[in-house]
Amino acid sequence: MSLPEPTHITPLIKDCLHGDAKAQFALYEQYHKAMYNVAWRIVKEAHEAEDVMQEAFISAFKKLDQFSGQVTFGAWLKKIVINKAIVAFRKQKKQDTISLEEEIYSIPGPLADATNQKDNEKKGALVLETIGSLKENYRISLTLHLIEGLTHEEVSELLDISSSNCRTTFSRAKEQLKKKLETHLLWKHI
Amino acid sequence: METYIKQILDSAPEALHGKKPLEGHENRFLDKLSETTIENKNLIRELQNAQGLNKIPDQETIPSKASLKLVWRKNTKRLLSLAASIAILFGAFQWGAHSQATQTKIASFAPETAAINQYYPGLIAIAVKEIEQQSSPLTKPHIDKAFKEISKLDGRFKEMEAAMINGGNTKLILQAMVQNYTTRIELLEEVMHQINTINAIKEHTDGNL
Repeated sequence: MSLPEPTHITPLIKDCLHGDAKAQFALYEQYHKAMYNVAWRIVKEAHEAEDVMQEAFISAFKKLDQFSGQVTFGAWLKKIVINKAIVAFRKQKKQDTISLEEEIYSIPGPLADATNQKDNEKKGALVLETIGSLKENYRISLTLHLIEGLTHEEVSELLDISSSNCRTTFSRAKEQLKKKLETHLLWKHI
Repeated sequence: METYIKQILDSAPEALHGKKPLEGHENRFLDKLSETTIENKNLIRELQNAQGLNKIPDQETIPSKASLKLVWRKNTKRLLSLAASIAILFGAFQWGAHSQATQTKIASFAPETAAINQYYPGLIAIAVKEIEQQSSPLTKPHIDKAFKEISKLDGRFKEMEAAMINGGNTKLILQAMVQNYTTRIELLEEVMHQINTINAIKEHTDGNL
């Protein structure tokens, strides 16, 4: 009697396991936008974010047999993206390349497209923009904890810092975020 | 506050996933994919064809005329809406003006370059002039930084022209040229956005004094 297939092995993933490029591309179509945004929030540059995101997919396909289904495929893939993004981010720091994009996003201001957005989206965009405007270590801390939902253990492992360092930074970062949001023009009106 | 923030983020999917990758990313991904396995190369070429890039087998990625036109059209809209909010001057300034001889030589390699070199520099010159008008002690550092980057891009563009003349892969270089101009336009848009932000904050602050 054959065992039933585990539920996380969807037909698509099964085909990817067999190296089917069509299936791999279909997965890419499905997840690339979300993963691109995850990468972008960390590396803050379009070309870099694309490279990180795409290399994460390639990596994921290579080790797809290790995907056990304890989390969703998206969550599993996201971890890989975050890992690669942090590596790229560290490289950026070393090379001292603060991209023009990062400079630009360091000024939170009135949201350009605020008029057409619903209130929820306005709020969300404001929060994201403000997080993006904080200094690097706060930005990364808030991004990993609040946006990507990692635990303290995961973050401290990823960033190679102590757990207490991680918590302290996160605390301070939240304080900064609160301060900045409260002084923002739009925050009071939505 | 943490839960509040998380709630906000959960109800703003557009903000969380709104950023789009640069144009052509699917094809770049398929290129990467094809490097990983030999068996898939044919299948991947099929997929790239399906992306509407009119790929000829065994050639590198090239943008079709149709996709080039699309990029031009998109950029025109963006740049014109930028210019529409401020008076349009006829800028005499041309970034990296090329000699007529060079232009003609390059055009002989790819007629598209003639069109590209006529189209983009004009748009960019208009935007540059407008941005220079907005220079103030607050905005100057950002403007300078943007212009520095654009200068670098201009330098690289000239290298591309030289490469084309020296027998490089015309189609690849063409694609890079379009991307070069597109990046310059994106940089200018970003700076414009920054300037508007700075001016708005300043207005608000001044208004509250």
